[in-house]
Amino acid sequence: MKELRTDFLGVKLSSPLVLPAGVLDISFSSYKLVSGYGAGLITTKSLTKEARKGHEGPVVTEVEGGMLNCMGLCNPGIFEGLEEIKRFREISNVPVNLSIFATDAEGFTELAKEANSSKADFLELNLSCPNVSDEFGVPLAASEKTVAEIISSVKSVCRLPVIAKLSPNVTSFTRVALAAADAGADALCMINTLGPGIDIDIEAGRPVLFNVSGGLSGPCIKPIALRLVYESRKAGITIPIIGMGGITSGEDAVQMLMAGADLVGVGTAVYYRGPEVFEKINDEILSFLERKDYHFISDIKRII
Amino acid sequence: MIKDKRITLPIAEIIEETAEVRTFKFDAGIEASPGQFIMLTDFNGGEKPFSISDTDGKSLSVTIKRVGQFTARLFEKRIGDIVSIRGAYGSSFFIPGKNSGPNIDAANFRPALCGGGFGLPPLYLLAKKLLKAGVPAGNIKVISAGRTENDLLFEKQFGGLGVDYTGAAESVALMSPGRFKGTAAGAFAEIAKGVTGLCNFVYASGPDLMMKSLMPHFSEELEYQFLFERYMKCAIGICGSCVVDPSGIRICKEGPALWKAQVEQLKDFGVYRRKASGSIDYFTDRMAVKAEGAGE
Ligand SMILES: Cc1cc2nc3c(=O)[nH]c(=O)nc-3n(C[C@H](O)[C@H](O)[C@H](O)COP(=O)(O)OP(=O)(O)OC[C@H]3O[C@@H](n4cnc5c(N)ncnc54)[C@H](O)[C@@H]3O)c2cc1C
Ligand SMILES: Cc1cc2nc3c(=O)[nH]c(=O)nc-3n(C[C@H](O)[C@H](O)[C@H](O)COP(=O)(O)O)c2cc1C
Ligand code: FES
Repeated sequence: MKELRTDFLGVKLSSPLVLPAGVLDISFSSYKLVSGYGAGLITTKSLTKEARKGHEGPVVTEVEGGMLNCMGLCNPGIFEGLEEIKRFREISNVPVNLSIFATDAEGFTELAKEANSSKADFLELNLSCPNVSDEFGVPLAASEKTVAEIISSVKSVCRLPVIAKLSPNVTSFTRVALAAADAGADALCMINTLGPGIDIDIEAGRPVLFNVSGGLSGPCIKPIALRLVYESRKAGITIPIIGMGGITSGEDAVQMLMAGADLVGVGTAVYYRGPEVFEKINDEILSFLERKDYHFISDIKRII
Repeated sequence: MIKDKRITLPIAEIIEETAEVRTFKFDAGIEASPGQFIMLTDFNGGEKPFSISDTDGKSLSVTIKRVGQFTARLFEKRIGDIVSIRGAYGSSFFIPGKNSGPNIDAANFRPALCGGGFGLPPLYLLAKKLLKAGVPAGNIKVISAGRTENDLLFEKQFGGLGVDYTGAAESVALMSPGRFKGTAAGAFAEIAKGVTGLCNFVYASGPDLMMKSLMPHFSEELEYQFLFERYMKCAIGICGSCVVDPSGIRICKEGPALWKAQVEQLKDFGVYRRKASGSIDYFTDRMAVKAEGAGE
């Protein structure tokens, strides 16, 4: 028997596949849809204190090998967001990773307190949104000091395991990863979207995205995601890693596990292969295990 | 390869339907079926969904009501001004012999097409395609709702097709006190009640409450498709903005045309919809009609 089940920070997951923050995760119905197709862990849209309507459109544009998005952290706010988790809990036992976004340690800590009374299993800190720099400046994950400060402050009030979501758009990625681990993060999530990048409509002579730039996701970022997971392991990160960035097939997911991830996020691939992508990738991982006579996900983790 | 191609082009024609409704025509060869929509932007902030009201493979039209900032800006545009569209997106209406649905042949297909406000234009394209598929014009009953007779959209166009057209305006309702509930929606439901009994399929397109008002008049076996509107951002099925509860159906992908079996599962239908932030916005009778721009 080949086995997709896996343990993550003491919680049993039916599959190593994770729905990442921001893709089909505004409401409990979307969590239900995606978990029904076999995702082992559902991440919510990054929630802020107040509701945000996000940027004006266009907010997405397909580019060669991927997509740019500048959703602008649209979300219904922490209170309504927690209600969605509650509604999901009434119909499903699939674990939930609550993603939150704030601009400083105080803001994150305030949201983390709310998370304590929620039905979520994990708390993910989005330290890395690239689409709101006009509003909030460089991603928090650019500074080791800021990252450490936020994580230790959140850890001091939060009963849930804390996952730090890191940005690839920094000069010393592994140093930030180590700082997050040292500050007490229970796991790391990497990578958020790359860039940001720009797409231009030459007929109109205008940027396609109204926000001008947007974060790059999809197959074209996979080689970088693989490298950053690999280098994090090389640099001595021992806590679990949720690896993501362009994972679209079972082979991609196997690569991500081999590079050193414990779980694998599948976001933009929902565009290419539909929400059924989770079922398809699960099957593709299973046939890989079959073909190579591996039994468990753990047999291929960190193999390189 | 990029699947989701955007087409940026000049507006080829602008037709004033009413003071608040205009049809914009583009020389764009986009394959589209009735019920599908495009996303339209002028790159000045906002990209919005609009149903396709006509297409012949070489040109494409959308019919737009002025309701807020974005549509008001569109109303300032002239022929030749550049805008950008992508699509066509979403599911389409049933056409006998063309796509899957109930086993009725075109000659015996007796559909009612019920629409309110800017829900009417997609039904116009539908009527054309039904005729083309061989449904006799006399079999097709169109019921259009609008606040006043001036707001009844596409009366002339439907007339040109030779289908059976009835307008339900509030003014009509007010002229017959006691007979209708006094709103366009009330008049619409009353007329629909009479008509749907004669039909073996119903298409509806308009605000939730208007479509919902039809349902009590449906016989149990009557098959139908409703065209839904929910807040759209990506229109390609990844952002989750347009998802309905509790099935997780994405209105931009599996919708906007939903089948009876899908509609019956909906918990939010006529109760609430989600705003741009994803937070829940409950309908109130009058407000819902107003907010969605139909019949007002
Ligand atoms: C599938 C679909 C088909 C549609 N077809 C037509 C059509 O054929 N003709 C037509 O006139 N209108 C149509 N609409 C509605 C149209 O998209 C809105 O009227 C338009 O976006 C309003 O923009 P605004 O800035 O002028 O108004 P706003 O003041 O921004 O909003 C007015 C109303 O439009 C709704 N709206 C605003 N933005 C969006 C959005 N991104 N997605 C969905 N609803 C939105 C709001 O919820 C509100 O009820 C359709 C909507 C959907 C979802
Ligand atoms: C439309 C969209 C919205 C996103 N929103 C968020 C978000 O709110 N918070 C976050 O941490 N990451 C967000 N992301 C980033 C993803 O979670 C993921 O890190 C990234 O897209 C790379 O994975 P992928 O290539 O599989 O999509 C978003 C990505 C997309 C495409
Ligand atoms: S509009 Fe984004 S999923 Fe439908």
